[in-house]
Amino acid sequence: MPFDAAGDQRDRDLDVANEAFPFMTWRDTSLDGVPVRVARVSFSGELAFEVNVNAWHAPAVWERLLAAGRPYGITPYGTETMHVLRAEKGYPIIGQDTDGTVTPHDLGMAWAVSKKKPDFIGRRSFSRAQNPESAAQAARRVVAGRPGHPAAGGLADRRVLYGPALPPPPVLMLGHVTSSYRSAELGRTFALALVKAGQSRIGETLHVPVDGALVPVEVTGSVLVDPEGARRDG
Amino acid sequence: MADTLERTSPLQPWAPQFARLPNSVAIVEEPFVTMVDLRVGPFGSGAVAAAELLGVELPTAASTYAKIADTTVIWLCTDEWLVTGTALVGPELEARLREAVAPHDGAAVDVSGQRTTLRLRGPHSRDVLAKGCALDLHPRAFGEGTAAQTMVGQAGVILLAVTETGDDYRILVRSSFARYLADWLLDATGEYTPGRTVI
Repeated sequence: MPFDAAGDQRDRDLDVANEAFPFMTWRDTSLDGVPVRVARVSFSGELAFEVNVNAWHAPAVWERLLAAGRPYGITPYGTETMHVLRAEKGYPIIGQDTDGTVTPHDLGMAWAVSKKKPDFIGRRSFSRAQNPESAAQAARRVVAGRPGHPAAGGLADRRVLYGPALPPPPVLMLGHVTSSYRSAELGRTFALALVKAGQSRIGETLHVPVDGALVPVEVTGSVLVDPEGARRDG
Repeated sequence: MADTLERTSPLQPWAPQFARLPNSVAIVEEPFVTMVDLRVGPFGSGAVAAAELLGVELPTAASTYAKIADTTVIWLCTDEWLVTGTALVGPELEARLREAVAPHDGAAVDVSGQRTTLRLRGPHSRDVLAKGCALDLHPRAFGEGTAAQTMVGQAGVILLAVTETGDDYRILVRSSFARYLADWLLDATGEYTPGRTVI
């Protein structure tokens, strides 16, 4: 959650400095005798901690956190906001940005599949010869678009087409938009799409039909905010 | 900061509505009950160690519970029990049970915050449950010492018969379903509540 690490550090025995409490680690601590487990994870790409506590104490711990963070501008936010923030970072939602046909290669996430395990469910399809060696060759790829149209915030589930004019059917379809939002950070709309050979189309302009008109979109890399990941460490 | 962190039970705001119910269908929340999930082989040395600690044998008959003083041991499946009580806080009961069963490949996990307990009492309590529970709750089939994992309305619950006479039940419900179940029960008590409009 977006609160200042320095603020969280007051009155605690828990050292939340970057070196003492690295990303993707967790610590057990307590607050006035109540066991608390804190995990340094992030759903938005920003410095964040997940606080786990017995449900009975949750309202009191919540109030305490909000009070401690007030001088730093702490604010709660909901899942819709979290959806926008994760999309700005190109984090896919499995089931929304993917379906059962999407491979880790398509997502550019083949790196996350263990190479040490001798076998696992899905290994055959994961190691098909057709799977691309490099991300640039991926059959389909989640890419972000830079729509130049005010309606582009509502692009989700729209088809992605090649050219600026609608050709006679059958219309060549390069993919489809899976998520689209307006970003306050970027000051414009953006979308995630599964596009055929998407990685090799970065910089290209494709078109998406919206209400009878074709909206031009620029294909970009999938990380739109903080591509160097500096915000993860505050 | 020296203030203590106040505990809040899931159904605290429902207490005034429960208080207005007649004695024929009385409902109270029994909050802050310690609950520890226990996994251990049912017939081995681990079960013996757990029984010694708790002062009562782990029940091995399906859908039953055993009770001694403040402690209730609810059969959940062939190697899993839910141990409830109020004498010890969750982390302490967890630690003691874990110490007893861990050498026997057993496990104990404090799950106190996961559920809250509703006590439903009175001559109409079985009629109320029958509106949303598919089990035969007649004392012949569901007498004292019975504990079933079942549905009341659309909520998964552990239902315990407290007496032999079918007029006293404990309902263990997950915290996030508790408000739904409380509303469902209040609705189901409508016809037994004088002055309540029944639609």
